[in-house]
Parts: sequence; structure tokens; C-alpha cells
Amino acid sequence: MSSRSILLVEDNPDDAALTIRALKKNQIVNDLVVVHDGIQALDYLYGEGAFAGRDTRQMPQVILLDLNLPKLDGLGVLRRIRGEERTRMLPVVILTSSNEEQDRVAGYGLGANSYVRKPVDFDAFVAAAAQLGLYWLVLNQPPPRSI
Amino acid sequence: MVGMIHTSIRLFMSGTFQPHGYCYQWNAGLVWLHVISDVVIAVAYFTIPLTLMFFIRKRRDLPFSWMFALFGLFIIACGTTHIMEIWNLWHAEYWIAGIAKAITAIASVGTAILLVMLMPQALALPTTNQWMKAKKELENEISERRGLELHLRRNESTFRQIAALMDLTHDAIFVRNLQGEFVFWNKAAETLYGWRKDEVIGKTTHDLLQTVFSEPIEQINAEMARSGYWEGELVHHRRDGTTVIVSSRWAMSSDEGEPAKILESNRDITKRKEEEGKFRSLLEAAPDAVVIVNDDGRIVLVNSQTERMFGYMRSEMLDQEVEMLLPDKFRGKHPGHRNRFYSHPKVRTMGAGVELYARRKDGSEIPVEISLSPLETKGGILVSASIRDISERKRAMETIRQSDEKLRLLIQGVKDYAILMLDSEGRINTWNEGAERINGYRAEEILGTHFSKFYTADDVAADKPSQELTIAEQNGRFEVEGWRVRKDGTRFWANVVITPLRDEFGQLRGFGKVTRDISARKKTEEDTDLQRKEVAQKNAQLLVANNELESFSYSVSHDLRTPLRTIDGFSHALLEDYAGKLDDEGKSHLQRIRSATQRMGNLIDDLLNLARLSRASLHLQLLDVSSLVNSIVSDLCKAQPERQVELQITEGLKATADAGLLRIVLENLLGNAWKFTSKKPVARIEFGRVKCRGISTFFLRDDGAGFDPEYAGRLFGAFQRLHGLSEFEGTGIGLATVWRIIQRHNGHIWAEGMVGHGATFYFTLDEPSPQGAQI
Repeated sequence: MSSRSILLVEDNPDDAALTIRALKKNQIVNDLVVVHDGIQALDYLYGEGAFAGRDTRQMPQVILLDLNLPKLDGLGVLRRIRGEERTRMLPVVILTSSNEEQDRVAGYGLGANSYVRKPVDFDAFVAAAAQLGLYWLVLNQPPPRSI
Repeated sequence: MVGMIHTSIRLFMSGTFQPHGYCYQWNAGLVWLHVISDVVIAVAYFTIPLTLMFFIRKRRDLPFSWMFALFGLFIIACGTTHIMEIWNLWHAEYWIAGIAKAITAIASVGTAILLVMLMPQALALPTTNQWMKAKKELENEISERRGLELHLRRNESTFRQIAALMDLTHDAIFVRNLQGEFVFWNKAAETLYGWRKDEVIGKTTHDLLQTVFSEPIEQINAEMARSGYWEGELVHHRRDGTTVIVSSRWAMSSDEGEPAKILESNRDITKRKEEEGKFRSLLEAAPDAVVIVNDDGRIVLVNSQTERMFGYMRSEMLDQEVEMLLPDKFRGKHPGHRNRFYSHPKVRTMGAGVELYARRKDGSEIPVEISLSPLETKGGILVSASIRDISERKRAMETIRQSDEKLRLLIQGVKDYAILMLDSEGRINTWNEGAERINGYRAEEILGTHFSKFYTADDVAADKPSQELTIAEQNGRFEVEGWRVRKDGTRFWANVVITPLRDEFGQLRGFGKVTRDISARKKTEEDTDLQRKEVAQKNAQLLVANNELESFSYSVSHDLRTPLRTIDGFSHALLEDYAGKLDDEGKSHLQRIRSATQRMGNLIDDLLNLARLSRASLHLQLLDVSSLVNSIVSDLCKAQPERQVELQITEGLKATADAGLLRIVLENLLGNAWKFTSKKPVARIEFGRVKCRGISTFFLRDDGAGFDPEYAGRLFGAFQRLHGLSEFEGTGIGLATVWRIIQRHNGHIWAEGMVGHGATFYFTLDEPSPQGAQI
């Protein structure tokens, strides 16, 4: 398994904890970077702010992106990612509570690779996390490393 | 050749012959005798023609003067021969002398011949005696003529006086001889025709004046020959080419011994003729029949309208008594009336106030209007009667009277409209029942009052009544809605139309005013307005509510589920991580918490779906409902393969619907049927279509738990459950969702059932409007 990281963008610490738990229950051991708002997510990706000096050549293998985020919402983050040459090919999975049609349309419209609704039932969530890990970290071939 | 010329020259030269003197042997006496004699003869001969020439010149009247000239020529030639005789005494030029003699011979012979030929004429010349006699006669004649001349001169003076007198008259007078040549032309003729006297004398009458005769010229000539007089009308041309109509009188002069002359006196009647023509065409152009009657009561003139009106020919009426045109009953008295009119003739209408009738040739009588006017003529007083056929007018008047009466009755009877007429000042002239009903006044109270009485005090102060009349007069119409006042002082909301009424000359005669009490309509309009405002307000509120609902659903979707997930997730973590520290009861509590959170999650999802249904747009298409049912049932079978269910699904049923929504309906209904038959060892589910009140209706029947028909009405409400959760699980939102979807498809859904005897759900889709056709 690749040592490349997973970037989890989630403001709710409970949800973050449960997501990490669900991933761990599926033996997904990649580095998991958790940021709590949209700005932090972008700072991490581009080595700015609190993440200044980060080796930005190291990009996460997949970004798990919530939509309801403080400061800059998930769709804003996605728009920025797709707009930047360095990140425009990064796999982004929207992981959110809502299955509102407008969110799905906007997410796919901005170039999300996947849209996953977090189930209330934790067993179902674990099952979903397993599927996600298997697919994005194992089956899916990431784009060539950008410089 | 040279010798010949020489000879011919010599021929005319002396030399060959001896001079004549040789013949006289140059005897001086003899030679001189000849010379002197010849000279004397020649002189005498030459003198004669000179004298003759003188004579001829002096007496130009001389007959046969050419004879004298010829005679002179012959004598000159003779003289010349004598000169040649003298010459040849010394010069022997006998050729030339011979030629001179030859010429003399020719001249003398010619003269002799002509003289002979002239002789008879010469003999005819009067002799002196005769001349003397003639002279005597001539002297007598001259003396006689002198006497006559004296007489003539005296006559001429008279004639000049007459001519001067003739110049005084205004009639154009001229005299012409029988060849038609003018011999006299007076001043008036100059004025009338434009030709001066000296220009016309000697010219021919008809050439100059290009006379156009009113009767054949032969007839005129015959009349002149017979009586020496003619009178008639002629058309003459003036010098400038214009024509003039003249009244012409011709008289033949019959002086003894004088050549006959014609005196023509012409009076210009062009103007009179034109006026006559006008009068005649005026008479013909008159719309009325004009009959002119003389003082004997006889018809002297009628126009063609008279012929048409009475059916008589002109010739049948002329010189007949005018009573022929009267109905029998009036005939007796008419001559009396007629005579009275003649004794006091003046222009007037006949039989004022009495209906007059005329009698046509066919005996029918027609109503007429007659006006009389006397015409004074030389021949006495004539009466001109203008007769107008008024039957058409009487008929029209009667029609108008009848329709007026009808209209009056109609207007009088109208109850819903106040219809009144105002004079041009706005005073009320007519009043109908509607006006009485609407305004409260009776006709006798209000007639003659100004219509401003119906206006509010404010409107009267603002001068509205007269302004409205002015606008109506200018625009041809005025319409307004406003408050008007009844007799009892109460107000009503009126619709008022004012129209100006004009006579045939466009003169304003008054106004028509139609008023309607539209208070009720006004109130309805106001109510409707209010309702419309309320509806609009409610719509706005609904829109706000809808927007709120949308953002509410959105946040519910996001935010309500998150804590549930936390509760469930950490309950799960507790159960896993602290399994050893929890007894069974603790674990059971945690399980309850988890199932409650999951149920709440489902509730939220169902609610969100229900809310979404109202917003989602329909994509209608023709669907195979039967195969959709089959597909859902097969999913259910797969999920619970242990179930024993008998399925009876009618194949090939189609409907027009939104595929996604219809699937939700069928999933819910089939899910219910599946769920409520779960307690039966062998369940039975049936899907098909029947006609209900003529409408295609799908049904789904099961033989499951059924329901109490008493609660059938509550089946489709949200959160309505007819079974306990312990019995059958469910959120209670499913049928509410189904109901909403069916409703959005213009359909109906209802259910029949009995507890323990299963349930049947019926639904229709896209019901046509009542008058539409059913497939």
C-alpha cells in the first residue's frame, strides 16, 4: 500500500473522529491529515499559512471533502482545487450528510470525482469507508505526480 | 475663196456700174432737175409721217391709229427711195437703192391690203353730219341730266337725313340690294357686328354675317316675293367670331324705276334668348310639376314633371281647364277659388292647413302641396302652380311618427337605465321609468330642471355638469363613472354616457343622457379587488414560506443528520470498545439508542423526500406500469426470498407519468402490501386495472392485515400510522408521499379494506378534464 496521505476536510470533530475510526476499522493506514475549514485545506495543499514550508510536491492521494465548512465551503475549496494547475487532477470525494440534488449537481459540476453520503448508521458508514479505501487507495490509479 | 469675198464687197461698192449722171450725160440742167425734184419729194414724204405721228399722239381716241403708223412707215420708205435717186446720180449704188425700193414695195403693198380690209369699218365711222346730230342729242341729254341731278341732289339730302336718323336707332339696320350687297349700314349695326360702314359697303350680307336661318331660305324668299316682308330670328356672326341672335325684320323697297332693295332691321335678343332658355330649363329642372294657367283657367304651359306626375301627355293638358287635374269633389268649387285668386293675385301656398289632392289620368289621387305665384304678362295674368307630390313624404312622416312612438314607448319602459334628454343648456326634457327608479324623481317633479341636480355638491362646485356637456359636444360622446345623488340625498355609483344630439344641419339640439346605477358592480369590483389583493398577499407569503421550507429542508438534510450519526457512531464505539465493561442491559440500552437514531434518520429522509416532491418538476412519458411493478416485486423477493407470495400482475398496462415518481408510488404501495402480508404463510398480491366511473383505474390488492375503514381518511396523512411500530415498522410518511405524487399527476388515490381482510389501493393518473375523451 502506498504511503501517500489522505486529506480529510471536516469541521465537525465527532464526524472527523468517526471517519478516522471507520477508516481504521478497514485497515487504511495511510497518513490521515485532518483540517477543519476550507482555508486550512487550501493552505495545506499549497503550503501556505499554518502549512508554510510543507513540501507541496507531496500531494494527498485522495481528498475527502465535506460541504458544510466554516470560512470557505466545500464547493469553494473544490473550485480552487480544480482551478489550480498543481491540484486540478487530484481525486476529490465529496463526503457529506446531505443528498440534496443541488449539492450533487454543484459538486459534480465543479469536477468532484465522487459523491458519498455519510449514513447515520455507523455500520453502514464503516462499510462505506471500506469501499472508499479499497477503491481510491488501492484500485484507482492516481494521476502522474505534478511538479 | 478670197476672190468671192472680194466680189461681194465690191457688189456694194461703186465701180462696176456707171453713176446715173452718165445717163443724163451730166447735163447740168437735167441733173439738177432730178436732184431738186427728188429733194422736194423726199422732204414732203418725210414731213407727212412726222405730222401723222403728231396727230396720233394728240388724238389717242382715234380709231385704227395703227393704220396711220403703217401709212407713215410706207411714206418714209418712199422718201428714202428718192434720197437714193439723188445719191446714185454720182455714186452707182443701185443695189442699195433697189433694196430701199423693195422695202417700199412691201410696205406699200401691206398698207394697201390692210387699207382694203379696213374699208368696211372705216365706212361705218359716222360722218360729220351724224356726229353733229349725235352731238345735239348729247347736249339735250346733258341738259336733261342736269335737271335730274338737281333733283337727285335734293333727294340725297333727304336720304342723308334719313340715314342720320337711322343712326339714332338701337336696332342694327342695313340695306342690301338683290345681289345681297350692302348699300347702307347704320351705327347700331357697326356696334352690333363690329364692322364699320366703309368696310361692309359692297360686301355680301350672308358672307359677312354668316347668317344661320331659323327656317329654310327658300321659304323666306317666297314670303318676301309674296308680301315683301319677313320677320323671324336669325343667328349672325360678329366680326370677332362670336354669334348673336337677332330678331330680324325684312322689308322690300318698291320705288318705281329703282332696283329693289331689302331693308333689314335686326334687334339683339341674345340675352333674352339665354334668359328664356334658362327659364325653360329652370322650369324643367324644377322638382315640382309646374302648371301655368291663364285667367280663363286654361293650362298654357306644363313641364315634363307634370306629365310624369299626372300621367297625361303635354298635348292632352294644354288649353284644357285646370280642373282636369283635380279630384271630382273639388272641381265644382275650384273656379270660384281661382277667380278670387285672380282678383287678388299674390304668391302663396294653396289651401294652407288643408290636405290637398290631385287627380291623375288613371283616376288615382295623390296628396300634394301646391304653391301659387302670379305672372304678369302682356297677355294678362298667368298663374304658375308648383305642385309637389308629398305621398312619399307623408309615408315617411308616418313611418317616423310610428317609430318615434315605438322608441318613446321603449325608452319609457326601460327600467334599468335612466334615459333622458337634455336641451342644449342641460335642462331635462324627457324622463323615463328607469330614471324615476334610479334617481327617485317623478317626471312632473324634474322636467325642466337642470341635470346638475344629480351631482354631488363638490362636483357642482367644480362645474363638472357643464364641463361634461362641453366634452360631449366636442368629442361626440362623454362617459364617466362617479357618484350621483338621488332625490333622498343618498349617493349611488353611476355610469353616465352623454351624447350630443344634432339636427340635420349639425346644429346642437340637446343631449341624450343614459345613466346606470352600478353601485352593486362597484362593490363587487371593490370586493374582488380586495380578494385579489389578499390572494396576492397570500401568494407572496406562500412564496416566502416555500423559500423558507426549502432552506429549512436543506439545513435539515445537512445538520439534523450529523448529530444522529455522532450518537449512533459513538454508541457503536461504546459497544465495541467498552463491551467488557457493560452488562447486557447496558448494551441493550445502547442498541435502543442506535435503532432510535436510525429511525430518526429514516424519518428525516422521508420527510425530505416528501418536501422535495412538491418542488420537483414532472417529466411525463408513456410507461409500462406492469413491468415497473414486476421489477419492484422482484427486488422485494430477492430481499426476502423466504416469503411465499402469490403474485397476479396484469401485463402490458401503460400510463403517462414521471418514471421516478411513479416508481416511488409503486415502491410504497408494493412495500406496504409486502409488509402487511408478512404475517401470512402464503400471501397474495394482485395488480391490475379496472374502470371506475368510466375512468381507467389501477389497483393493488393484498390479503394482508387490512385496516379499519373508519380510518381510511387518515391513511394518506403524514405521520399517520394505523398500526403499532411493534406490529409493522414504518415512518407513516410513505402514503402521504404517494398521495402527493398522485395528486401531482392529476390523479386520485383511495383505499378499501377491512381489518384482517386485506386492503385494495386504487389510483388514477392524468385524469382528463370532464369533457375530454378517455383512452
